[in-house]
Amino acid sequence: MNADTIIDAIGDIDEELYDRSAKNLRTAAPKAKAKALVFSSKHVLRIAIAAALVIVIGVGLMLTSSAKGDVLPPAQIEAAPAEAAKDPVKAWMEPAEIPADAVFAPVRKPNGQAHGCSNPEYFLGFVSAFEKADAVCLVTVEDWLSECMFCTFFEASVDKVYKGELPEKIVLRQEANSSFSMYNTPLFTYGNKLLVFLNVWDDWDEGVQRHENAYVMMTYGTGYLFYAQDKAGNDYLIDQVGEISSATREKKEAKLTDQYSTELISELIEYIDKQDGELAKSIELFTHDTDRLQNVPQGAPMRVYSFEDMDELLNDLIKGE
Amino acid sequence: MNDEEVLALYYSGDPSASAEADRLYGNYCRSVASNILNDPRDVEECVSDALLTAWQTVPEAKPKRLGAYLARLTRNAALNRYRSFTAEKRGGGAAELAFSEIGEIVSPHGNPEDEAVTHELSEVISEFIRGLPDGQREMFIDFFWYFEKPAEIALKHGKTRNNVHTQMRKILKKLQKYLIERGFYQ
Repeated sequence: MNADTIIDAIGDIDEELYDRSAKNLRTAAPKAKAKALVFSSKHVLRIAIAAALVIVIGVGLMLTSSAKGDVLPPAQIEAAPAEAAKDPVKAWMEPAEIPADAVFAPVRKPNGQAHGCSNPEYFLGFVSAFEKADAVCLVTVEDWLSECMFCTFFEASVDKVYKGELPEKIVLRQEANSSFSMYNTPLFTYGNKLLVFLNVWDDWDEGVQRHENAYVMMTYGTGYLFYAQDKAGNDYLIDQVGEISSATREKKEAKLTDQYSTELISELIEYIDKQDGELAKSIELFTHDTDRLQNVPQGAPMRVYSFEDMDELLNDLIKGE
Repeated sequence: MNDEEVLALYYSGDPSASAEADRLYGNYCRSVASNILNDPRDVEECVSDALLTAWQTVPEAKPKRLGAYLARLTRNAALNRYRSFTAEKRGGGAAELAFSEIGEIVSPHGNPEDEAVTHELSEVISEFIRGLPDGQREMFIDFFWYFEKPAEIALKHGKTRNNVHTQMRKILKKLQKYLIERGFYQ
């Protein structure tokens, strides 16, 4: 007997022991009133216009229509979900429990990559992104829902809202799919903890399945920061792609101290690696000399902020300071 | 359309059966294949192969659970493709790790067994898995059936990767003893 025989025999075990098809049904027919739309010439035109605005490298896939600029009424701080009401931020910082029926992206690490956008409309720092955002919040990524030609949709739980009015669960649109991703980063996965700057996503003219409460990340899909902890238990946010940080610096929008150091980032990577090895590997790649690598944004290297600093900035923005 | 309706299409020889099965379970099958294969094109081909095999075999096999049946066909197709690859193309993923772990409990000079022995072995392994505590059973299936990465399994079960690795080793040792006791090998 050899290993092949045992692996094959495991494949033939009783179906009820491995069957997860019922749990995966919704990946084919996503919840929330999924509705497939027809891809028409109008969509081709939209894509062509969008394509003229972007710098595309590699497989040359890239994006889409304008982010919605509607600014909602002054920020409203909502109570976080009831179960985490006591200390929603602390609860958010805890590693997520992954249920047995969690749905993961079929392809986590696409081969193709796309780069950022030259359109100044998308070049937003933390302050301008906050001002233009429909919502700014801490989320935990949950089930993979579906993908379209330019994007992937994930369910996400909302753990703390800095701006906007949000339900407990939203749908997060990531500008990536099984064929490409921004700067070759992996797709999100269940349990990722993010600070996100969001616009409502209500442009469904892409032949995609419709999801309710959908939001797209600003700054051309890169308006998110990952949460991580150092060995001493201090809390940090990592702007892996670095574009929103780059705009913040160039526009002199806010004074945020970049905490990046080789030692700290290796501790943060170690923390992330315990929960998401693929993400840890990707962040590790961005720690190399970023201006000289092809798959990271030129001149917009990764930045690391203490959670406290960012929280303070966002709270100041809420107060209008 | 549900399982019964899709199966009825298969039984009546309706060519739309494959498309309906793909619509229902295509993504599930893709997630199975993509844990084994790195290239999305290989994944797509495996799912197509599985759907073709289903078209040829469902009327006779009469599966009770269409999704599970398709997932198994996809796993088999993906493993066949994986085995045909060079070590470089295999990419050192979770499947390679699973093979290597299983390799620890069998003789390096062992030979493949015929279908009858494999079938009997499946029944014994099913029995073994049923006897595992819930958490270990899930982890065993995650790792050796679905070839999920230890990091993902760790995340799912709230463990560290090392813990997952240690648990897998323990379970395999138990399995080895279980199989030896039942005369499958020395």
